[in-house]
Amino acid sequence: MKKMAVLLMAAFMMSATVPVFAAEMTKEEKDQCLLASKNCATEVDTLQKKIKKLNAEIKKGKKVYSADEIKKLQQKLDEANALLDDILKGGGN
Amino acid sequence: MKKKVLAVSAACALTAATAVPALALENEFHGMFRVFGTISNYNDGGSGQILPTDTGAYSTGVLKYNGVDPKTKSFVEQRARLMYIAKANDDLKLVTHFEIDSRWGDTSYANGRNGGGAVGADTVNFETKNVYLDFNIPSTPMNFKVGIQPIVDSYKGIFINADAAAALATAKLGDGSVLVGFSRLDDADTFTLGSATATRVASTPGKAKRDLYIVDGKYNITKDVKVGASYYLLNVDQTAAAAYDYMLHTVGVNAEVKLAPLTLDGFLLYQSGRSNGADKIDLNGWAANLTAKGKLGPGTLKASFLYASGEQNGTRDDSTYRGITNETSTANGEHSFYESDMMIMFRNKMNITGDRAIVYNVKNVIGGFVGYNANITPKAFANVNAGFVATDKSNDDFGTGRVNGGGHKSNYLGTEINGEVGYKVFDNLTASLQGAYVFLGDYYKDTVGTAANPDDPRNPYVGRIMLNYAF
Repeated sequence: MKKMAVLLMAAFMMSATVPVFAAEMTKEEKDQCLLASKNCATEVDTLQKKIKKLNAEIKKGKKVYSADEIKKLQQKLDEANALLDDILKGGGN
Repeated sequence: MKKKVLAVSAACALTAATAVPALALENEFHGMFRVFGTISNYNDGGSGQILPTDTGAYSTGVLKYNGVDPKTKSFVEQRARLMYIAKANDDLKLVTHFEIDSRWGDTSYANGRNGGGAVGADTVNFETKNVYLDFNIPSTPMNFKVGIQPIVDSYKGIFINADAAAALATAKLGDGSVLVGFSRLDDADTFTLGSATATRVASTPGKAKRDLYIVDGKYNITKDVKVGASYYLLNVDQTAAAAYDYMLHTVGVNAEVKLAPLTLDGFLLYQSGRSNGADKIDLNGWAANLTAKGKLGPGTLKASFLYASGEQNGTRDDSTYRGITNETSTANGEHSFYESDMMIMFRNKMNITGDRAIVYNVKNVIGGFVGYNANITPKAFANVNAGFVATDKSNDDFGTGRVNGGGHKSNYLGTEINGEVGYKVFDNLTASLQGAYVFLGDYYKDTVGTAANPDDPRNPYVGRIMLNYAF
């Protein structure tokens, strides 16, 4: 019985640490990553998308986030805006 | 029992091995790509100031423009910027930023920046803009940025808006923040302006340099009222025998007030210093700005005013406002006033290598600017701007005087009108058409031609088509 418990615990711990594999598609689904470069596991947000997401989360306000968390999100939004400005700004010939 | 211990140990080891993504490095890539097709009688694809009174003499790489008979130029230039951020965690990251510029047809198989656009390409043209470490001290409000990084002042860039080697420390305290920083702008024998080669202290780091010290405070009085104050100390330690050895103290205050539907912001900057050497020139410049923005219909209406002091004669005292300049290239300005949204009178924020302007360095200028930005549909946008620009003092900062004598007829430099229509092909890809025309003012009356047959320079214009992808 104890052996079983240990194995179950190990299995549970492993399953909790591999969420990426858990979300994989089933055989019948189309691979949208190969087909249309969408939903790829390694997909990274563009700055514009990051800014959009951060704005949406900040809008949720104190119903969802604590004051400190909102401050942190705001700081990340400021950073993303500054990076975008830096990338787009002219000069430097 | 032994087997159970082994099983538990194996499970724990496996768990630990697979459950450490928090320690992994997050690789973040961003960047942009911009292509400009330009047709102009003014912009020649280079950078720096071009004056309508230039006569076409090709000197120090700048004066290709001929104000009497400007040739129509057409060229295509492109810029790519790639940013890689190695993020260890929320509190520690290395930021690197690179740039590749080319004008189509310029050079190939070459070693050097701003090239590789000619047939064959294959050019070593990779520029490093930024390499710096950005980190927070855990459990404190302190952030540090150390390395070659972008520095923008709190004055819309008219003092410094450039990449520079610096160490900046910022403390966030409640509704305010204080930034303290040091930047070494240039060092040793790199100077090309202001000092003769013979008087330089060559190859002795720290002996002939320009250092910038920054103290900048910001405070949010309420959500809608923000104020700030700054002190910048520019230590120009170039040579003890010349006018290029001085400490320039710049103090400023700035504020932003939201009075729905209007947003008002502005600043005041004052500079003071005295050069060493025999002349002991007193430096006293100042600059001011006020801008109002508000929603109107489908867009935003903006009105802005800028003043930067000038000097009439330049002896003994000099009241020219001065932003940070570059002393290792002829391009000079390491500051800007992009808020003007001008394309010819001032540097334009979208400019890449073809970065020309009449008022390239912000000094000796009074300008009024109005503009309207509209989102016509979620995808289409348009904007129009007008700028009315004059000199503060009637000197030759923006062109030589009348060819038949008497200096300039007036201080009025000209009126620029420009516009842009664009379309967002995707969220991060924009295509647009831009055009600008300057009606030169009486500052340029009779400033070209000959004394017997004085003439006015032709009015500058520029048209551009742009593709801009940012990610």
